[in-house]
Formats: sequence, structure tokens, C-alpha cells
Amino acid sequence: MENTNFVMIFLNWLMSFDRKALILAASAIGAGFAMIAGIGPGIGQGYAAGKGAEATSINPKTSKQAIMVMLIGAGIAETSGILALVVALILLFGNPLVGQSGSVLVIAASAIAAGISMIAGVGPGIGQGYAAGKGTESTGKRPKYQSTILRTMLLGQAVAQTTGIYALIVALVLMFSNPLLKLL
Amino acid sequence: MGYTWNLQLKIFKCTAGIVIIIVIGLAIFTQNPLPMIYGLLFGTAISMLNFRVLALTLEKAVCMAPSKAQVYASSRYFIRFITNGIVIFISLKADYLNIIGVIIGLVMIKIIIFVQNLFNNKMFFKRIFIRKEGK
Repeated sequence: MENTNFVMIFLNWLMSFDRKALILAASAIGAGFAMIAGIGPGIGQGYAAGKGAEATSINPKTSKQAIMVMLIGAGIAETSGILALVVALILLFGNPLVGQSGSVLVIAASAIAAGISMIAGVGPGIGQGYAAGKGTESTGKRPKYQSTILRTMLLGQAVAQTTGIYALIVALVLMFSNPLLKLL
Repeated sequence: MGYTWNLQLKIFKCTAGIVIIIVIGLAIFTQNPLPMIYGLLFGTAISMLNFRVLALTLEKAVCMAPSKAQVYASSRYFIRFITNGIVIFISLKADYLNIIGVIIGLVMIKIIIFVQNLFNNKMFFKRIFIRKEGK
């Protein structure tokens, strides 16, 4: 029966490694997960650019206003990519978890969790890019309402960004002031 | 200089102004402010350059077919992503740059865009305090 308890066998196998090596390995996995968030802004900006090209081809006279809205929208859509990059690079090059005392399993799991939480950045990236695309499209159709469209788009993008910032806060808490270690 | 040069100039001027105010504030009110100031200036400069590259990319992308524009804009985004990665890596490695300053600098231009476009209308604030049932 004991031989079939794979979870225990796996955990015992993990514990056979050096403490530092285990935390660094978990950090590497976490950094990899965090980088997944970089996809979001890529898709979003691509969508916005596609809509910009569409708006220009439909009504070339309004292309100037449409590009201005697209530029502002696409600029904002990049933010979650930068935040994910920050967490991934802190895990790789400025790792705060290696020096922490406490259960190695909790610290290693926190390193992976910090990376996984940053995957939330995909959502704001795509969402903000989508908003930028739609803003560009509507400005192409009705350039007279450019300022209203821009304001509405940015308001939507600011709201969409909040989940990305929550993810960053959770990742930073897990890395720098882990509350789970105090419970042990 | 392209369609959007005036918009870029407006954003750059505002960003530079705010950063200068922050730098002066840091220099007066904090001890050993140099790493933070260097980090802030470095991050802001890179974010401004990235914004300029974004503008050039989008100005070019709108002249393409929609599907091609999508691929072009996405591929250029990843180049900027790598640039940001290198900047954050350098700031983590270099002792004379404060990483928090660099991150604030990188995000500064986005904050300026929000502030410039969302809070530039006095009527917006006035409307908040007008009670709808009183109309």
C-alpha cells in the first residue's frame, strides 16, 4: 500500500534535494509561468492594429484620428506584459525567496504560485487590445466623437487593468512577505 | 514626423515634466536619492522610446492588410517586450539603479496617458456631485 502512495513518494523524493536547489528550481518554473502573460498584450495589440488597418481601408479620410486612438490604446495594452516581465526577472535574477527561512516546500510552492498568478496578465492584455481595436473602429466610423470614444476606451482599459494589478500584488506578497510562512 | 507626432510630443512633454518634478522631490526629501533618480530617468527614457517605436509600428501597420497588420504589430510587440526585459535585467544587476524606480519609469507613460485623457474635463468632476433625482 505504501508503495502506491505516489504523492508521498514524490514529496520524499523532492525532500532528498538540497534546500536551495529546490527553491531555485521552483523559481525557474515560476518565471516560466509568469512569461505566459506576455502573450496577452501581443494578441491585443495585433487585434488593435488589424482594426486600425480595417478602419483606414474603409474610410481613409479618418485614418489620422483612428491611428491616434489606436496608439493610445495599444500603449496602455502593454502594461501587463511589463508587470509579468518584472516578476519573472525578479524570480530569476533578484530572488528574494532563497534567503527566507521556513518550510522549503512552502517557499518553493510560493515561487511557482507567484509565477502562476501572473498568468492573469493575459486577460487585461487581450481585453485592453480588444478595447483599443473597437475604439479605433468606431473612431474610423465617427471621427467627430473621437474624444468621447477615447475617454470611454481608456476608462474601460483602466478597469480591465485592475485584475493584472491584483495578480502583481499577490505575486509580490508571495515573494517578499509570505503570510503562509508565519502560519507554520 | 508621421500622423501622431503632435500627440506623442504632448505625452512626452507631460511625462518629462512629471518626472522632473518627482526627481526634484526625491532630491530634496530623501537621503541617497541617486539610484532612484537614475532608475526613474532610465525607465522613463526607455518607455518614451518604446512609445515612439509603437507609434512608428502602428503608422506602418495601418497601411497593410488587416491580417498582415495583426502579425506585424504582434511581432513588433515582442521586440519591445524583449527590450523591456533587458532593461529590467540591467536594473536588477546594476547597483546604481533602483529597480522600483525603473519599473515606475517604465509604467509612467501609461499613467500619464490615463491622467491626461481621463481627468482633463472639469465637467466630469462636476457631474459626479450633481444628484440625478434633483434634475
